Amino acid sequence: MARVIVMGGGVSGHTAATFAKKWLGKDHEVVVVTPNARWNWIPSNIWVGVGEMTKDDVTFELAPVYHKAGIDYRQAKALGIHPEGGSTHGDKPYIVIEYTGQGKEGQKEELTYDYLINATGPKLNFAATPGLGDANGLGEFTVSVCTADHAEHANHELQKIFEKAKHSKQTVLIGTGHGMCTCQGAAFEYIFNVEHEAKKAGVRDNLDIKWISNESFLGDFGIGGLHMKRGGYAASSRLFAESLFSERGVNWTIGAAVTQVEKGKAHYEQLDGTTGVIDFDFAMLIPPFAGVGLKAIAKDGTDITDQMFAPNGFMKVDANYAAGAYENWKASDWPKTYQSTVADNVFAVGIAFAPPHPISKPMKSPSGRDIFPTPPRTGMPSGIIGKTVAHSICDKILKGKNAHLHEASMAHMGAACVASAGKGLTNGTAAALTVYPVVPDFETYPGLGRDLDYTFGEIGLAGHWIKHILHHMFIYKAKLNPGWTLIPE
Amino acid sequence: MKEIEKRIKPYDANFTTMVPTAFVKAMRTCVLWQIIRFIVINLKMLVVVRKSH
Amino acid sequence: MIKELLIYPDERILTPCTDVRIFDSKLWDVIENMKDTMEANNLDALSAIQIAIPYNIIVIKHHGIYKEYINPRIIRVDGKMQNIESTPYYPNIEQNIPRHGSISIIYDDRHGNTHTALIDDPWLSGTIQRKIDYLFGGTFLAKLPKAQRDMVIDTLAKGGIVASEEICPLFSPKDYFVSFADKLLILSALSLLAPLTTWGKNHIAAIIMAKNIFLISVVLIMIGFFFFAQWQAKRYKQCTSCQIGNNIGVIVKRFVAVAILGIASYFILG
Repeated sequence: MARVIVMGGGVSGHTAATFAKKWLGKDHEVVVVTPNARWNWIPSNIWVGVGEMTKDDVTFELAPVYHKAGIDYRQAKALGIHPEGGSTHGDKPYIVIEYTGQGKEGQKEELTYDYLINATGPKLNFAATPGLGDANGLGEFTVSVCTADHAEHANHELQKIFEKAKHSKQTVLIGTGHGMCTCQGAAFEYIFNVEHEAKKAGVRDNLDIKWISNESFLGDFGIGGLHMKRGGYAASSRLFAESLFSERGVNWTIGAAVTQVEKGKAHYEQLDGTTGVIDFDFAMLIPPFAGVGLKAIAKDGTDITDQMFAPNGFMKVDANYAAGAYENWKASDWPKTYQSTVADNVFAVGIAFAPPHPISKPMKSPSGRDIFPTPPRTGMPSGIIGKTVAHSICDKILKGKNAHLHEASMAHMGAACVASAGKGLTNGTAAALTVYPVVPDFETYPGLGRDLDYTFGEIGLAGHWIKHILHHMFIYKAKLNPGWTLIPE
Repeated sequence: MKEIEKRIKPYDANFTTMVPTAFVKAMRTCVLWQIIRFIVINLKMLVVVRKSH
Repeated sequence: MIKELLIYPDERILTPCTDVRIFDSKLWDVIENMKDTMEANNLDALSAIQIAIPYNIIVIKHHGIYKEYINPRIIRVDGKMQNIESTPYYPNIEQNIPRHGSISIIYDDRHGNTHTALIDDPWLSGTIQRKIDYLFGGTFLAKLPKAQRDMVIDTLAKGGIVASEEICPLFSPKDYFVSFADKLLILSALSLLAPLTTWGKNHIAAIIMAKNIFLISVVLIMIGFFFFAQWQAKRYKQCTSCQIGNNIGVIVKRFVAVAILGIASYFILG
């Protein structure tokens, strides 16, 4: 009997664990170690952040679902990996976990594994920008929508602003809170949802809504922008985004790194070297992501964290980390099997793997500050990667150690993304976008690096319906209700 | 157009961008047209999802 | 080498451009070709896409000196002005375009070194904004209100560049007939799925009714299409896509679809 441990229960970890259990059946063990008691459909947190949904709408208890599926669920956070074994386990690799629930809070335990999937997702690195928050999460000056709890808090603060806006002008600042953030999409959705809700609440005229981001042009989204076919020719997402921002009356500051936040003030530096301050009454600034800070320890007790993980805390996998400058980047640098460089029975999926390099053009301000989006690894690609890795591990267990590893490179993977710009059954809108591949492949598609036949975008009510249906569909799938395997990632 | 003009003040970043016409905006929330778009977008997304697996 | 300029209605101008990643002699050749083309056509500014090269490269001649901007991005803007602009893409057209008086840009030079610059010379600022529009797949007409845009296109057509009496239009209102008919056909086809639902009899009857109306409408629309197309074919004599054979083909296809849907629904919906 083999044991597969999945660390993390987000989109990719949950997908990997549930498929692994389905394919392995009762003869093998699947353990999920996640510090959260509830599963969260993160894309819908935006709607929690404007009060259109509650925390209960976007989360559910994990324990009953895992119980039904026969998955061993440990509400705990992983502290360290011992890929060579040690302690009382001999050569058997193990991880150390610390419980955060199930009545065993604070208890530590060692769990041996045959295969390990690292799906720990990001640490929301608020501490990277002074004043944005502390290492424990939220700061006192800004809010975030990265977790359901943060989103509830954001809505609480937002409603106060709406109340004040009935009498006086208020400034709302939304965007990225650091020079190297990813997830512009979430901020993009949030700003337009806030705008939409403000209109509904009748306070739009008293609200000055401002956007700040680290993109070098509006519509970059961390993937170097995308192009949409219009009458046989492609229009850039820059035109699309600028037009939407103008139409909704949202000011923008781009190429900007927020360097410090104080009460009601955000200091920033732009790519051209200028610095400035934006005054705000309410700010939702997305923090940068880092690895969760897992340690890796060799059998003799030496720390091998820097071999197993990149400096930013993400796990090194089968990618080419030595590509160097922008001009040398190739689609083939991106990982295919997500196998760790240190141990062949360890894999990293979703945000937890270290990308070889950004997708957007790297840029620096004259003072040397990096200001550009880091690559997104969320949503559809992370689900697909989770499933692929689960497939590889199941083959190794069921067909033998030499089974062929399955591949899912982000350079051969598209992403379908629906970005909400306001909720409402007949007056909602959302931008529906697809891009193929996520990572531009300049060798296969000279020029833009993408296949324009499969890259498109459109804004409208239909997109909102799709987003709403996806919400229900993915929660249905994650709860492992009948037919869940038929729903694509 | 009035609604848009109201929001665009001098020295804003955004006064030189193109803005959609009233017709384009109306179509975005026109239920009948959006039902057609709903089907089309779903099909397009399915193609991309299939291609990615 | 002097290259040919893209001129309206060449739609390649709308191709979005990609960032230059490799700064080598190939890039320098492109820049030299752009300069030669500018000399030959007496131009002050050129985007690479205007000679059909889809890369983010702009060359501007300011006070007799050539300036090269590679992968330019506008980071900050200030002030506004009305800029009288013309471009070789739309020959003999001058338009008043809203622009920012001063811009702050970040760009690479021909060796890949990044620079920033604050440009407050109104002419240079306006020119860079116009050229960057091309890089992102747009022309200055996109900045104009629709009515004015249509007027410009109309002027261009009458200006002898596109002799509308001789050459058939790229897009004709008759395409609306076809597109609308096709949408009705899709909706009719969807009605065949009605038996899969658990809707009541009344609902299904309403769907069948709607479907019948749609199918009849398609036939009527196609008849309208035929007369419209006939009238148009007389106007544009050299128009191959307007010829009767072509139009009849379009009509026959839709009639066949109507027949198939009619028969299928007779058996499926009863």
